[in-house]
Amino acid sequence: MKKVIVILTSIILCLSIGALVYLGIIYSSYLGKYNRKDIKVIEENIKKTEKEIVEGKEEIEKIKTDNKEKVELLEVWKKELNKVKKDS
Amino acid sequence: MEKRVKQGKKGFLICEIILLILITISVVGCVFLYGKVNDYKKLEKEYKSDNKKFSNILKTKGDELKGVQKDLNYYRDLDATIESIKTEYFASIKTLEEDIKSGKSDRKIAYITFDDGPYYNTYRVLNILDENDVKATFFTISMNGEYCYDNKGVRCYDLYKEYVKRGHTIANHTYTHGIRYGLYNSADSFMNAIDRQEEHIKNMTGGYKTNIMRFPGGSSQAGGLKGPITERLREKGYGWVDWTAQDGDGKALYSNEQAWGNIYSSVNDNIEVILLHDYNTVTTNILGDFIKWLKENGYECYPLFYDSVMVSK
Repeated sequence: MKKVIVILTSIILCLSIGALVYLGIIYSSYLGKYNRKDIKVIEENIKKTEKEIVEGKEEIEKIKTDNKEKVELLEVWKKELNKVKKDS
Repeated sequence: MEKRVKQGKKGFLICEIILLILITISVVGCVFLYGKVNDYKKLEKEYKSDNKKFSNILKTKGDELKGVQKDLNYYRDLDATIESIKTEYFASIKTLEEDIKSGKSDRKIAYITFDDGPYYNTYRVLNILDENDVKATFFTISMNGEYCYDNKGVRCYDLYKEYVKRGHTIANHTYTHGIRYGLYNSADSFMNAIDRQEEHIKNMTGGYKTNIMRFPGGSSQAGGLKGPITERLREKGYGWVDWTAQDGDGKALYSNEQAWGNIYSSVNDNIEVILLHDYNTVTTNILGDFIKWLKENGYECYPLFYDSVMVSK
């Protein structure tokens, strides 16, 4: 009778360990996937931001080309303002 | 009995074998899990490092984007941007003027002004100002006509755009400058000449709005009309300015020495409004050296503006 109890307890213990091992594998695999997803989102945001930067720079260049005289005047006044501020 | 004992022993043997197998599976499982966990720990470390790296890149790019967006807003409404810089520029000069007047600052300001242009000679004046990196104020009239009085082959009205392009202040000196032709007959005749010149400046520049004027011949020329005229100017949002120093080119000026003599005797104060004339070649001859002399004597040269303490309202 004693031997039966020991064997049954051992079987239950082994099964529990097995189940824990299985859950452990599933959980760590989930963690890996979760982190990968997080990086993908960041990468997408970087691409989006880079695109917006390029578009913004292109628009600035276009404005500068289309309004050459005004941009020159702007530079004149920026220079003058810096002069007064530098002197003060 | 012996058979049952044998069967019982056999049963236990089977159970022990099964137990041994299960223990073996558990040990192998644990070893496998340990390996897996180690792998994932490594991966997790890599991911964390990548995450940090990418987050930093994103932050840098985000900052760059903010800068680009700021520049974009700056350039999208160029007129407003230029106006806001000009406002800040003149406010800084105003503060400087107040500091000089109250004795807080020992700096000096010279407002170089040119009356009666534009002339062909004005091109020379503008180039000298550029060479010396100085901005000035031009009190303009239009009686000289579309083509330059001193060179009929050149269109003088184009100079209005040049003033704006180079950052100078355009001011109103009446359309006719007609001191001897009824300008000071009444406040109405005077204001009519102011309105005509204001309109002319707007048309020639594409909308430049001036709010500073100088009486032709100086405010004393207006005599008893000075009060009514200044009242009308105030209503119109104009300020007016005479001068505190000059090289004497408004009257007979024959030599550089004569001009320097007038300069030495009149440029004394910490804030000076200097009267010169575009057409005078003696003035043009000494202008470069005069600006250098002003700078050597501590003067900073700025264009006039409505809120200046030197502009009466």
